[in-house]
Amino acid sequence: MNSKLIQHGLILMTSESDKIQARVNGESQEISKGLSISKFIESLDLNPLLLVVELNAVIISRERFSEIEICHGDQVELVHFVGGG
Amino acid sequence: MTQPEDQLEIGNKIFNSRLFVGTGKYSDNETMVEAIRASETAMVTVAVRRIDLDRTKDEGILFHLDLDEFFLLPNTAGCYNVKDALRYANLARAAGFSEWLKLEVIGDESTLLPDTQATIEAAKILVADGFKVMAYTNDDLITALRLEDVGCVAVMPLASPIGSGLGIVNPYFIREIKRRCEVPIIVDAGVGLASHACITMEQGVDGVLMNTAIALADDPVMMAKAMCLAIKAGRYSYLSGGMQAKEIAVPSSPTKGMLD
Repeated sequence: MNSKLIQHGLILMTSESDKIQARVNGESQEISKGLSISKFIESLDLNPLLLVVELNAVIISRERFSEIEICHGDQVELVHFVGGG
Repeated sequence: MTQPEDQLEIGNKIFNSRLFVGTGKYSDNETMVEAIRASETAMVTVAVRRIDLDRTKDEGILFHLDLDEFFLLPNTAGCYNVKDALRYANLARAAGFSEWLKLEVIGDESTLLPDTQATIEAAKILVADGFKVMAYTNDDLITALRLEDVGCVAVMPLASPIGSGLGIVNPYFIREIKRRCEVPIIVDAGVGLASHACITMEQGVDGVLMNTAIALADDPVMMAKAMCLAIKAGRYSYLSGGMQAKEIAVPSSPTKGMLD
């Protein structure tokens, strides 16, 4: 147990303090707190130039990927082009 | 071998082919690229979908298509209302390639026939927002005229239901749509064989968009080549001003000069 997590007499688990829950492409996912969109995309090994991000139903331009953090409860959609008619 | 004077212009852009092809349903990406090249198309359609985070990252179509070679036309396939169509259109544009869009608003899951009222409504909003809209619609003249009125760069009536391969079921209305609209008419959906493509072009339309006919042929590359030739054959057949059909035989050789 990390001693830094003992606050106000409560013992907080690491997962409760450093992680948040977000919904990514329809699936609930636990991700690091304070993670920017660009870091999140990087963690998934995806090319930011080949995808589009929608955060809580708002399209995020690529220029803003590094400045916007994913917050608890956010709805994230990562989309790209696939074969279609 | 499109003649310079017969180039297709849509929304101030010149296309060197009258065949547009989809990129769905191929067994593998290599076959898809080879077939697209064999079709000699200038524009390919793509769909917008969630990235499948459990699968390999090369699933996206842009890993396989050279954008210097093909012009991308994203679609709103799978959308059943105006709100969803606008959402998908904006996601497609945010990808950063162009403002061109194949607008599809489906009205019925079984036939995949378009919701024409919703298509017109969505087209109006998208055109005002700067999109170049090519609208999938049924073979209805009034809807085609309305889509032209709201500023679509092309109107795309179906030959028959999407993926059916039935060919052109209503050539009369397709001809009437072509006769009455000023924007290019691209017949979209329903073509199954090269003969269908040829007959469709013989109605005088400006082009044909197809996917399943090529992708689901046993040999998609050979079918793509057949479609390429059929589109050209149909175009030249139309431009040549074919003879009037008669329900009576007329001999091709002189009737005079026969021996006693």
